[in-house]
Amino acid sequence: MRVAVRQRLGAFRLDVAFEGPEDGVTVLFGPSGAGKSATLAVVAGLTRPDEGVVAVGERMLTDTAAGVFVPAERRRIGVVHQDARLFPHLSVERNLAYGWSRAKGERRIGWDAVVDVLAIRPLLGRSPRDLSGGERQRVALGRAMLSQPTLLLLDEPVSALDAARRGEVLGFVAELKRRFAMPMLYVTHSADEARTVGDHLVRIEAGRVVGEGAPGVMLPVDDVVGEVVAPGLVRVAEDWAVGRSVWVRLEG
Amino acid sequence: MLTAAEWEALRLTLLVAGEATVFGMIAAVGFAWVLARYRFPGRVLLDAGLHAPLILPPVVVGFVLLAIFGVQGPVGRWLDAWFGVRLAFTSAGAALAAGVCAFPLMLRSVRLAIEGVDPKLEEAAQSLGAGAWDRAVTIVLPLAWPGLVAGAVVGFAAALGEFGAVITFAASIPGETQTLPLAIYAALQVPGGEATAARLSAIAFALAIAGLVASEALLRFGRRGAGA
Repeated sequence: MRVAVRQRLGAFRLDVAFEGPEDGVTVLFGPSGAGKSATLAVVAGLTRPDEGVVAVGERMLTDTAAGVFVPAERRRIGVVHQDARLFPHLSVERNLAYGWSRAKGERRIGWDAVVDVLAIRPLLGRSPRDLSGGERQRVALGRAMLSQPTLLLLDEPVSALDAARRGEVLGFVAELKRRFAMPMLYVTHSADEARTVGDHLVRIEAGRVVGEGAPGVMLPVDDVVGEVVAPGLVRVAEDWAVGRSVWVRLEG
Repeated sequence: MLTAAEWEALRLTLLVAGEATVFGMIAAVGFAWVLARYRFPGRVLLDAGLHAPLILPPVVVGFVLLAIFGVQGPVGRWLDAWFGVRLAFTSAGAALAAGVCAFPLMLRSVRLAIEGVDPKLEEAAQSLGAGAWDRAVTIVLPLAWPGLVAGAVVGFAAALGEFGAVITFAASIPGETQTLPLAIYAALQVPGGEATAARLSAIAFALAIAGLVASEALLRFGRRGAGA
């Protein structure tokens, strides 16, 4: 995955360039308003950059100099947002089938495999309205995977969830990556998430790339001691795999 | 129960209002889409122009239609010469007059419904491989369905009751352009016609109730069709 784009968005200038591994999770890390989501929109083909290139593998998706712009519906890039954006008028099954039925000729990722990995079989007949936040995100992940993407974009996919659900959904993301060798671009402002899922980290601030490297090196754990949750109560770590937090009570 | 003439007025009214609603809704969806989704020079003017029938006296609408689509009008002459179609003083003309007057109401409802569909859902559909037409048919229109039904019901009711534009453009010819309101008015012009007028009014009332029931059924159908 290769991205090098410039775009003016009102007073904000986006000017980012980075490369991500073809089979791993690239984390776009930075504070709110840094241009992470704007970068995703450019990669997804939902906005056209003023100049630059976007390529996935050998496939050139945007190249302003050569006049190349593949529209979003033909990019085969799956997108999952923090609000799952499930279609409210369709059942879970028909949400999953939406991208699946439009990718008939190029199915590599199986329906049953995705449904089972994400454990959403019991939800198939339900309406998106009746799902919990975590279930919604799993269905959104499944819907994106079943559209047979060559790249999966995840825009703060667990930010709207509580800590326990967050760990659970992150576990599913890791499982999807392992099972389907799916390259991903993962946007977050959480150092914990970045370290947990990331293989490569791109740090963005004020519309520019300010650093790149391995997540563990870029965001050393002792950077963050913990999060003060309540007076005298500090959460020092979260075990994503089991969705449990480690708490330390300060006394005296 | 009803006399032959009353049946005729009822049939004609349903035909005229039905045609006015069907064609009016097709135009309303098209124009609502353009107004809701595109920014272009003259958009405000187009919007105002499309709403003109709402603020103009219906007689004026009828007169303008006569000037344009009448036998001597530019479009009317062309239609007559090329297709042998005459609109003035025909039931198709009554439907046109009723449809034009009801159009702004349909447009308003449809446009609000289309604007109410979250563009993020359309983006999601796009990333899942759906092109523009595909998204319109599978996402936007189904989600806008209640607004479309409301627009059709309001449009049908308005077309049903349209008087001034119809009588000006299509006159009041029994069996051809004399819809219920025109027939009621004509009955009241005849001494002793109150009984007929009352019976026709009762029919109009029954039609209105039937329209409401039908709209409820349509809404339910839409919900089921959407699979929710």
